[in-house]
Amino acid sequence: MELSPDSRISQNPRTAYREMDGEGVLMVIDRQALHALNEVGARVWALCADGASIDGIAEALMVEFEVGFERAREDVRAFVVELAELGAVRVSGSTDE
Amino acid sequence: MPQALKAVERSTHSRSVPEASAEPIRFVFAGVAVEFVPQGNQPLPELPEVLRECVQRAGDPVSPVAHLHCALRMDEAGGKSLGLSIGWHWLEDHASIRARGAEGRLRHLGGSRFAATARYSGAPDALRGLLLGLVGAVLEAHGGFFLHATAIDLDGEAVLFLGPSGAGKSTAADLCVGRSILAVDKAAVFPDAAGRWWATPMPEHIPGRLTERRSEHRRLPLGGLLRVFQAEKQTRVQRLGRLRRYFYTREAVLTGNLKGEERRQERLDLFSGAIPIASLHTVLGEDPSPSIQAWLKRERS
Repeated sequence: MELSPDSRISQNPRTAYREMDGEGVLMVIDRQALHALNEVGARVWALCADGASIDGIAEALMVEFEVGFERAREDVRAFVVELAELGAVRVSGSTDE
Repeated sequence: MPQALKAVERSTHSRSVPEASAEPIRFVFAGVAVEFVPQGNQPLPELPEVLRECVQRAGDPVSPVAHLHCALRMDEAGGKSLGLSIGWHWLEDHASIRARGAEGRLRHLGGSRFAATARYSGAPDALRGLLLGLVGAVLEAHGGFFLHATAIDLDGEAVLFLGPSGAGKSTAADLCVGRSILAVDKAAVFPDAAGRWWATPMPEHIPGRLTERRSEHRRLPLGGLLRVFQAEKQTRVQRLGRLRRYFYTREAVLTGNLKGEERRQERLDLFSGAIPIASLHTVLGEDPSPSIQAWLKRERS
């Protein structure tokens, strides 16, 4: 999946999520699959709640986790692709649409 | 970045041919006193053997935690669902149950009393699936769960081994020399009125060594849960953080639809904080029982 900086990422509503001590457990209902999210993953998941762009998420992480923008964007991009493959997020505006 | 872990797997096992009865069927399963009442002059079958093996016997000392009255109608159409589904609508205090060849609607009457109407196709598997759905829903209302787990009787307490198929649950139970087996592959856990937790087997028919070691007990106090891993060097029990305790327990829960998931998660969070839960790393040829006993002792001290 090719993502553009403007791709909008939103949570699949058929997921269940529980956060504890900054980390999270994400369940994709239709696949009966559980995934553990670390602190950064949990933050990205939260940012996807209202629909967010890759760059918007990266900018938030850059401030909150004190990383460079390019590094944050690459990590976000890889993570979003992973979430999409798991069926946890929906992506609109990807270049392969 | 996150680590994807394996999905929960499900399976069903049942066989035996029922005989018909026009009388209500009454029994206790997973701490729930069940009464199936036939409707429309259609007799009910006897409980399939695989269910009878899990039903609490008259001499068992503990009272049921809930009572379920179910008006049951045989209908060849049964239900369309291909698997077991429990959907609680908590605000309305009712649940929809779907199983292969059966479906029903359960209402919480208040306190420990529940009523249901249901239909099933007449097949023993459909009755079994319906029972699991109904009792599963009652247990959820009481804070209990069905778990994909192998349970052993360790000094009069149930210790449950958790993990996806292939993780080594049966192997761990096999290594526990001289311990009888409470549940081969699936168990229900539930609290009683005093808040004590219990474990009971679920109906399944899996021939093999573990079945031959089945315990005479139908339920035991719940000692703890262990997520099983296979190790090479040393048998050990390792404490887990809150997230992992929750994760491994949720991974084992045999209910997974969206309806009611939030409440399920809340209760599971409480459960995983109240019961000793750790990881067990087993080594072939080594009995892990002493490590488990030491862990339980530490948890209680």
